Amino acid sequence: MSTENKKRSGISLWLLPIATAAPILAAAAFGVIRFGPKIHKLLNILIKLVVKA
Amino acid sequence: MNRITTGGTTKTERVCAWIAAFLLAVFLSVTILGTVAVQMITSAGLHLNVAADAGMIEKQYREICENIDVMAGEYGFSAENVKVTVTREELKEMNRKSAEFWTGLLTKGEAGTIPRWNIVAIQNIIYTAAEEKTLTEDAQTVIGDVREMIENTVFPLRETTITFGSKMAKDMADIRGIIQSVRQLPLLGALVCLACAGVIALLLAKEIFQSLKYYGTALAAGGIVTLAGCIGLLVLRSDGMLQEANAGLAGEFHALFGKLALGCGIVGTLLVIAGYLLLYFFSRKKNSETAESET
Repeated sequence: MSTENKKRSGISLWLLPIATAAPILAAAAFGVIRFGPKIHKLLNILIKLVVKA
Repeated sequence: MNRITTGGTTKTERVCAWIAAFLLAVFLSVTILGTVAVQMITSAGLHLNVAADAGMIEKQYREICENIDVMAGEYGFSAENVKVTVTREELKEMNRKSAEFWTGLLTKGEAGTIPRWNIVAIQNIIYTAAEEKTLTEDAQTVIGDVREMIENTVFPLRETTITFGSKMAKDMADIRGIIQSVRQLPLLGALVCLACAGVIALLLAKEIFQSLKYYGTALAAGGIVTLAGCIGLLVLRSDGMLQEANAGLAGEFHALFGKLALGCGIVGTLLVIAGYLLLYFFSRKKNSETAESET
C-alpha cells in the first residue's frame, strides 16, 4: 500500500489555510502588541504637531 | 531518508513545497497590504476620489453651517447670507485642491500652495454688516475668523510645520527617489510570489495535481491574512485619536480608510474563494483516484 493511499491522521485539508495563516497572524498580533502602543504614542505626538485643533 | 510516494515526489520535495507555499502566503498578503499602503501614499486618483466623497463633503458643510450660526451670534452678522456663499461645489473644489496638495507632498516631497477659501462674497456681507454697525468686532477680524474656520474644517493642518518638515526631509533624503522605489515594491512582491509558485510547480512536477493543494492553501491563507489586515484598517478607521485632534481631518481619513478596507476586503475574499476552490478540485480528484485504485 502506497503512502498516498494510507489514511492520514494529519490536519484536515480544509483547515490547511487556517493552519498556514495562523503563524503569520500570530506574528502580526505580536508586532501589534509589542510595538502598537509605541507607534500609537508617536502618531499622537505627530498629529498634535501637524493638525490644528 | 527520502521516502518516495505514489507520484514519485520525495518527502524532502514535499517539505520544500510546503515551505514555498507558506512563503507564497506570506508574500501574497504582504504584497496586497503593501500595495494598499503604497496606494495610500502615492495614488493621486485615490486622494481625489476621497476628496469627492459626498458623505465627507456633507459632513464638512454641516459643520461649517453650525460654526457660522455660532459666529453670527457672537459677531452680529447675518448667518443665512454667509451660509449662501458656502456651497457644496466650492467645498468639493477646495477638497480637490487639498488632495492635490497631499499628492504633491507625498509624491514629490514638496509642500505646494496651501488651498485657500475664496473670501470675496463673505467680505461683502461682513462689510455691509459693518456699515449697518451690527458687528461686535472689527470687520477684518470677523472676516479672518470666518475664513480660518472654513479653511480649518477642510484643511486643518499647520502650514509652518508642514513647510518646515517637508524642507527638512528634502534636505536629509532624496524623497522623490525613495517614493519611486516604494512604488516598485508591489511589483517586486508579485515577482517573489511568482517565484514561490514556480518553485512549487518545479518541486511537484512529477504529480502536478498535488500542487493544487499547495496553491489552494497558499491563496486561501493569503486571503485570510489580507482579511485580517482589512479588519485592522477598519479598527484604525474608528480610532478616536484623529477625532480628538480634528473632526474634519478624521472624516477625510475615515473616507480614505473605508475605501482602502473595501478594496482589501474584496481581494482577500476573492483569494479565500479561489484557494478553497483549488482545494475542492484537489479533494475531488483525490477522491476519484482513491475510488479508482480501490476498484
